[in-house]
Amino acid sequence: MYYFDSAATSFYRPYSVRVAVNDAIARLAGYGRSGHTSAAAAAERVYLCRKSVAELFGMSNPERVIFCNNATHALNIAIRGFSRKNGVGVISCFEHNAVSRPAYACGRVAVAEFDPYNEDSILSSFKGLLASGVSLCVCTMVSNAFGNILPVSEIGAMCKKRGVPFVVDASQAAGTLDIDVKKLNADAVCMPGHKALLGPTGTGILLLTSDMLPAPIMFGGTGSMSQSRDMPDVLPDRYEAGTLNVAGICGLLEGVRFVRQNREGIFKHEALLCKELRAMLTGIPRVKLYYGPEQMQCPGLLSFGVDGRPSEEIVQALADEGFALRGGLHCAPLAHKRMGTTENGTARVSFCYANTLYQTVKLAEAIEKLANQKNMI
Amino acid sequence: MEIYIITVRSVTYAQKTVGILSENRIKSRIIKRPKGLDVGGCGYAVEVRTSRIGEVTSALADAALPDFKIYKRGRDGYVLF
Repeated sequence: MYYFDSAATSFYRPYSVRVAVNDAIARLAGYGRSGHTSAAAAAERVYLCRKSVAELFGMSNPERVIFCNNATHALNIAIRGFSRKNGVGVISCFEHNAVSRPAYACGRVAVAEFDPYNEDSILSSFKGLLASGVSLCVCTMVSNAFGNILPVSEIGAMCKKRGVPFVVDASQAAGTLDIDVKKLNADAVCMPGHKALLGPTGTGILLLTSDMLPAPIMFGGTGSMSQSRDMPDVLPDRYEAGTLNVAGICGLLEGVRFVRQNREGIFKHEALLCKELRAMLTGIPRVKLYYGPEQMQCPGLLSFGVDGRPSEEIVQALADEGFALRGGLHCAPLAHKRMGTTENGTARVSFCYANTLYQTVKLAEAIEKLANQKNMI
Repeated sequence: MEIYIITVRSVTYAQKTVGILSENRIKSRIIKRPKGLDVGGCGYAVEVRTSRIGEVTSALADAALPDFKIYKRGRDGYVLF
């Protein structure tokens, strides 16, 4: 199988990730509760991961790196923790359900609608919605469905000026784009560990990047200040109730280390493969590609459709040929509504460091063959 | 050489303390916070065996480590340093 679904979950992980997870299961105990050797070793690995994540994203305080189960968990802490009763949450029209569902669960939501490839259109749309009564603004850095990059730093600057907490969903950007959180003007940045950070599933990260802190949404044991009925006011404990996924975090540490050593090369490699694929698919009758100008497009992702056919059929046919892609709405119905692809969704190719040009050529040939078939199934 | 206990607010800060001291070539280790030094229940502390406590204090202050206290272990228990 050739795997082109890294935007959902990484598959080709560095060997060191597997070794670290196995080692943690064999040798390490829980984190932050006991003081014996195995617990101390676990605490050390967890701290090393916090430190490595902080350094990757330009942060100086590892305690502001909160470990979660996934990006959805991190987004729930930020969105539900910042939301106010009767407040309005502003989100973009490219949000994943991991953003829109918790936002709607908290109350009224205003969706910023815009032309994704026109920065003025994006900024004026947000500006129009950031009025009084807004309790929160959330924006994805890169659309998981179409790969378009949104100007989050500029949106964050508008939020900062108005005192509105700003949350960035960096799920598709973390590990691929060069991110310095100080430049995002965000209060919280959320991401999974299992995508381009190359960690195991069950890992996610919340970066708390300003003095504006969300209220905790989960309560429980932290191994600290046990006599208090409230969650500790110290980070990261305030948001980490319950025992952490130590084995997952040990794997994530190795994934993050790999990314720190190779991020620029990964970016260039994915950009090259994506460009080649676009070139090979361009001009094939009945194949429609969805992408914008290079500077507004994340290089690791390309959505396409074939002659109005359901994307699920396209990816199933490709799966039968040995290619792993994702079809459908990618949990981002707002984005598909905006792009006019709700009916059939899109097939999504997403690259990682381990994909090769050979695999990409084979994929392009398979898509061309598919497009030339009258009846796919 | 004297034994000192540095109390901090969480295991993360204990790790951070060990890291700061290590960068200053001072050996230390994380322990569960000794009874009597606890603030509101469970917690962690860092044990340092050193004759360079002044350097320890400076290193932690320079790193802006929040809310730490240093206790010196004596015959009758721990005394706030």
